[in-house]
Amino acid sequence: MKGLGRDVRFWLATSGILLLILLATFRFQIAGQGCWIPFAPHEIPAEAKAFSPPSTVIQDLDTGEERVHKLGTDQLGRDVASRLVHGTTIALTVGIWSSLLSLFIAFLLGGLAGYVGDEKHRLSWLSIIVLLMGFLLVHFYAYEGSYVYEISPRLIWSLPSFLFRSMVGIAIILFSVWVIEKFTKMGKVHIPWDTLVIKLMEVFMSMPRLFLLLAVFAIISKPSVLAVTIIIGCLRWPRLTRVVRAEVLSAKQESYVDSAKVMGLTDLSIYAKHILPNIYKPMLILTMLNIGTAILIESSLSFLHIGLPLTEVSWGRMLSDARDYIPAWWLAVGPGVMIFIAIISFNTISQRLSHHFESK
Amino acid sequence: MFGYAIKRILLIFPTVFVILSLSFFLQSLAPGDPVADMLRVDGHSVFNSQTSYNQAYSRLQRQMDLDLPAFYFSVRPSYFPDTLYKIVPKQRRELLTTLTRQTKNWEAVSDFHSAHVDIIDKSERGEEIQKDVLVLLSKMSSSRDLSDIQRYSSAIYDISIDGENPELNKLLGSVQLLRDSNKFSWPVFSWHGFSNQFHSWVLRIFSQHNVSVVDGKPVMKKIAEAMSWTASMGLIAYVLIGIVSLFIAVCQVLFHESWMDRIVSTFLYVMIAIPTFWFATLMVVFFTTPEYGSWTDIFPSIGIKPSFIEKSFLARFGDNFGQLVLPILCLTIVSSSYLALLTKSDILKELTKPYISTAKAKGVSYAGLIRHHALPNSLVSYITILTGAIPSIFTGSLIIEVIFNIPGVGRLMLYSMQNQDWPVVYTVVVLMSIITIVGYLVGDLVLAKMYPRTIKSLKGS
Repeated sequence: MKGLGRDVRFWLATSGILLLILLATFRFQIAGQGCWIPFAPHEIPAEAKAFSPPSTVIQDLDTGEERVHKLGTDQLGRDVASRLVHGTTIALTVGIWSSLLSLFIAFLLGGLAGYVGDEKHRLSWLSIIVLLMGFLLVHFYAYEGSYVYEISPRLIWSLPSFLFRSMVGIAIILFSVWVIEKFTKMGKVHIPWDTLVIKLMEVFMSMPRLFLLLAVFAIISKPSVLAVTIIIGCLRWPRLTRVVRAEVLSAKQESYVDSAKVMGLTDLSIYAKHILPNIYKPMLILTMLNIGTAILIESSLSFLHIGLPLTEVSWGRMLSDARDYIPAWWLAVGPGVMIFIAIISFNTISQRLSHHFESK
Repeated sequence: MFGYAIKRILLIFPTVFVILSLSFFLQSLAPGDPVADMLRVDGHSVFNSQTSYNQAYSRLQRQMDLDLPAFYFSVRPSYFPDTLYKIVPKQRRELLTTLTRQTKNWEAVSDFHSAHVDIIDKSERGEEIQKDVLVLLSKMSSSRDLSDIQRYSSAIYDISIDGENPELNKLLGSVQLLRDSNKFSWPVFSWHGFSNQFHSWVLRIFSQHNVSVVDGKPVMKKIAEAMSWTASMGLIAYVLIGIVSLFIAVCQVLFHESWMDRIVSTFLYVMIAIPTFWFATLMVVFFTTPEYGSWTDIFPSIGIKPSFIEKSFLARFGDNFGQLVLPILCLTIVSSSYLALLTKSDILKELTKPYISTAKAKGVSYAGLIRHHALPNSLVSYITILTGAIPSIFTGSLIIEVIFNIPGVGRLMLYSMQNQDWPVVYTVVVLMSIITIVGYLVGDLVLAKMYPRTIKSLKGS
């Protein structure tokens, strides 16, 4: 890491991200009643005016206490500075968790495509039938059985019950497939995992991403941070999967994989303990880039007033409010600068890392 | 090459099928009742009696093919009847579905259904029924599940003075029988053939019969109007991106390592990280009004002027060209920064190759090296990205359209989403997906024609 240590741009970007993380962690210490920014994000002081410019001083009617709107107020008289600080949480939460989700999917599918490939995995016909029919049955009974009485006769569909039932069902199916494979001798066929994953990626990548996103958000009745995170995470897996697959394919040729095989390690532990740690460099680069993009998507969605519930503070939504009252330039500049810092920091880290890894 | 093209074209069909079924599935999950939405005029019912409303409802439902099973096949629990989809309206169908789930007893549910419909019919025909009971009866039809039904039923029992009404007694008796039967259920598979909602939806999606719920116009007409704005802007931006980025890249290589190169590179790098919507908002805020000094009033105010007289699209485009400058600028600047940086580094990489040294030794000038040797060989990624961006001419940028109030496809989709105009929303999704797929195909084929060796990498993805 010697070359990276002297890289000014890398350290600038890292400190930008550290700043955002600090803002998100200590948001209640920085912005709230009696703090450096003396307003809560949703607070509408009785004496506040909408669209007051930066460094407007307001005086409390009862106590005579003076407070300063450091970056002005928005259309409801809420403090912009405080909202900027609190908006960091949403951006980082959605950005990081959705990227981790797509990374997880990529490790799963990329591993299947790259490590298992077209030739390696063989199953008998009986197992395939058991798997397909089994999954159908498990889904049916898990779905049907998850209608539980909250208070009789009020019936609700319960997700935890569905997940639990599905897990149990899938465990039973996998066990029976294991028994079939172990104790019967039948003609076996290859499962072309590589082809399946590639076809899935092709279909997915040929859809217009933003329109698909909107089509999914259109039917979500209750907006939530979790839903936004999951949908963005599920949207961005193909690119990562492609890289994981390529990296795993080239790592498979390395001698340490053969050594691990000779030592009798299982495929799963070779993949998880030996190959994955060895491909961390491209994954790190891509994940950093991905976090930046996820933050961008989240703020674009909030800009269009889609996805996040109104109770969350989001930079994108603040920015879209700026168009309603053009003289209020502080509404356009503040959130934009925050989004810009977040995106350029993650992009720069990714770029410097890839530069550093390549030059070595 | 030919085999590759055939293979790619054949792959379109399964992909489009997946997209169609996905859109249909999402559409069927969307909130609201499309038939009821169509029957409403400005949000109000125009029918004076329930019977005439029901007649109009079922006629329209038949026209929209919503009285058919949803898909080619269905898997349902064994206690479900196979003709539940025939019950109208949607609200009633959903109530009966919930009741059947709760009781697992279709006979009791259908008894309740017919008793309830009978008594409401009677009251429509003018038979005397106590007023409070009538209110409760109509509340019963909008209730959500068994607990509501039982509550209303006991309320009817409490307040009804007319104990002799046979229909009412029948109804109350049928509610008594709505109890959990605890039947064991198994999945039943049934095949519905081609007369189903999905099939007819696919057949009429691009025809005149697919109409918007909000204003009754054919969806394709609305999309075509919107598309002319999006595509014309997209085309101008596309050509500009191609020219500007190549120009900047070549200039930067010519003046490599000079102070100008550094400044331009930093500028380009910053432009990539600036979110388009922030850049656009800043432009609107600072450069469309004289608010910050008279010199900032550079561009006209945003928004396309509405046209009240019938005018051709080209005439309207010309009228509004001033308004389109800023959005096209915003569309162009970010993408061309990215493409310029990429092309520049490609040309520089190419300049380190041995054949360039040979040419240099033979006395070719630096400009000549770039123009005749390095540039033609280093344009692979430039062309790859440009051909890959063909679909974006038509899909455009939703956010730019929303910010600048341009009635393009993206804004149409967003507005239809807010108005729950699902036919428009999902037709746009399907159309955009097909355009994207075909656009990628055309791009890849052009690329394969120009650089035959890229076929291999395209195949191996």
